[in-house]
Amino acid sequence: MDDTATTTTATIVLADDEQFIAIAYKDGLERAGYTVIVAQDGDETLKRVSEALPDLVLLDLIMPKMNGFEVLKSLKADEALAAIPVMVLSNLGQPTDEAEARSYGAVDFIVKSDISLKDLLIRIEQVLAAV
Amino acid sequence: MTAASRQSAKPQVPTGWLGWVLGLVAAGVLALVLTEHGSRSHLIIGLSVAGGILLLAYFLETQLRHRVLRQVTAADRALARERDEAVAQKSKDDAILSSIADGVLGLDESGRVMLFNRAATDLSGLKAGDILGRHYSEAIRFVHEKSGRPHTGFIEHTLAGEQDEAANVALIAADGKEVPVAVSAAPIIGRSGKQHGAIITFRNVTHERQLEQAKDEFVSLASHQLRAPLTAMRLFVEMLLDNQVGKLNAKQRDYLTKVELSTWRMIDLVNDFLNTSRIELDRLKVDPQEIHLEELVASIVETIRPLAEQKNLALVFDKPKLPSVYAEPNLYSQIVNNLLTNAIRYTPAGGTVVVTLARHKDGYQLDVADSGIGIPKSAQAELFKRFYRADNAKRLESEGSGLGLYLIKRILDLSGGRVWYETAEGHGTTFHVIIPLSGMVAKTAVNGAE
Repeated sequence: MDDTATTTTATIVLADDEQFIAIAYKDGLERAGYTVIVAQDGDETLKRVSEALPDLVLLDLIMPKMNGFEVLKSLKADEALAAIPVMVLSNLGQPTDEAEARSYGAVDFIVKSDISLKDLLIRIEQVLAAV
Repeated sequence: MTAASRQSAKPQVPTGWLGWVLGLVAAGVLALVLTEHGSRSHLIIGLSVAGGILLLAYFLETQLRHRVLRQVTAADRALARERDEAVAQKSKDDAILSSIADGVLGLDESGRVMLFNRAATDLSGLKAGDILGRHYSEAIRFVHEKSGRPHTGFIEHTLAGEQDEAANVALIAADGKEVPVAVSAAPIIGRSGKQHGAIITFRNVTHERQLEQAKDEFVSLASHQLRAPLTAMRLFVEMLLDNQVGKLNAKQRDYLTKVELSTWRMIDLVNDFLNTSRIELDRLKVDPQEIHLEELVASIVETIRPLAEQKNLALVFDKPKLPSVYAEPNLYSQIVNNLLTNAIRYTPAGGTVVVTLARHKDGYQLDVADSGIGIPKSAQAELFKRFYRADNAKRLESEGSGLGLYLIKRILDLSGGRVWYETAEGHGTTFHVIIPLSGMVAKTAVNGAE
């Protein structure tokens, strides 16, 4: 994993209200070379994305203040932010959730509990490569 | 013969006219003979004999009359007793039927309602007077509990002479509300063996359904809540094992590998519970996407490989090159994961687990072959039942929810696939899973999303 640490400089906004998960992802992503900005609720996510204009948003669905679906709709409705790819990273795993997220413009949908950090990094690379 | 008709056929008391006629004739003949011979004493003797005959005739007639009267009275009493008993039996039968807590619907052989007890009225709000004599299809409505479609096959089968039980039945009450009921139906067979109709019993199971729903919703909620801490644990352990926070010694690595495997196992269990609850609540949705099965299988094999290595098992998967197919990635992953976990769990150390994936003429077939303990004959009929675990499996591994194979079968049943196996006890088992070439069949969740 350390091999990839120097290959990227992309910025990621990580939206997750679960503190431990956010710390783990932030650590893992930073070690892989990404710049990570954490947001802990829906409102903060919109604010951080507007400020940082990141290369990617990793978005949880169940969050305080504004849920992930609402955040996704707001991002895609904003011309300045609509092009930023959003990967949903949630512990909701029903196909209906995935279908809804994709219908609002999510490029990928991942169930957090079912994916290793290693596989998540591969999926992130794939999304960034496709932009 | 009814009591009334028996009564009308009551024999009349004989009048004894024959005795009287004979006596009179004998007396007349004697009187004529004696008058002719002119002997007075002979006349007296003749008259006495005639009188005797008359007295004897009277005596015999009286005896006969009494005997007949006694017989008739006894028959009358017996008839009255029978009638009283029949009336008492009928009111007892009526009381029993009325007191049965289950609704009882009795139909004659043409399907007309001939019985609708009090519990049936209480449950449905339908009045017996309104439906007796009408064909059941016009009188009462049974529907499929989830779809609301008419559900009367079990009545038709029973009227055709078959014993039948139906699941997921609801009764439409007089106010239009759907009442879930447990139904049992049986043909009415007379002494001669001829069928006279059908008896349908039904019981309100609203309360049971509410409890099941509450239980499944709890499992669903608990499973979601458990996923978050498990995710955090797994991520931190993964980073430790990747030496991201310093190099581990062999013992530390061994312990952390065990923590990681346990965490994955707990995540699998949560997913099994969650999907079981989705299936039970009819919330499981199959939404196929275009994916490469071989990539999915390869990724799962690699994730699970440490588990095989811990047991010193050879885990083999030769990744084929296949076209993309429409499949639900989460559900297919769960199928592969459950089959692999079982194969590893029930194969003793030093054995092999071989995974193959190929395109056949009727679908994409996954085979998971192990050199494990096999499935005993006694367990084969129950193997795909929820929570079932074979005795030899329990002896070898105390862990295991008994949900893995149940879920595999249910998911494949719902999505147009199939699962089967070959096994030899003590030598191993091969499970086969096939999904159609056209992909997994889409299915919408009947009860909506979570």
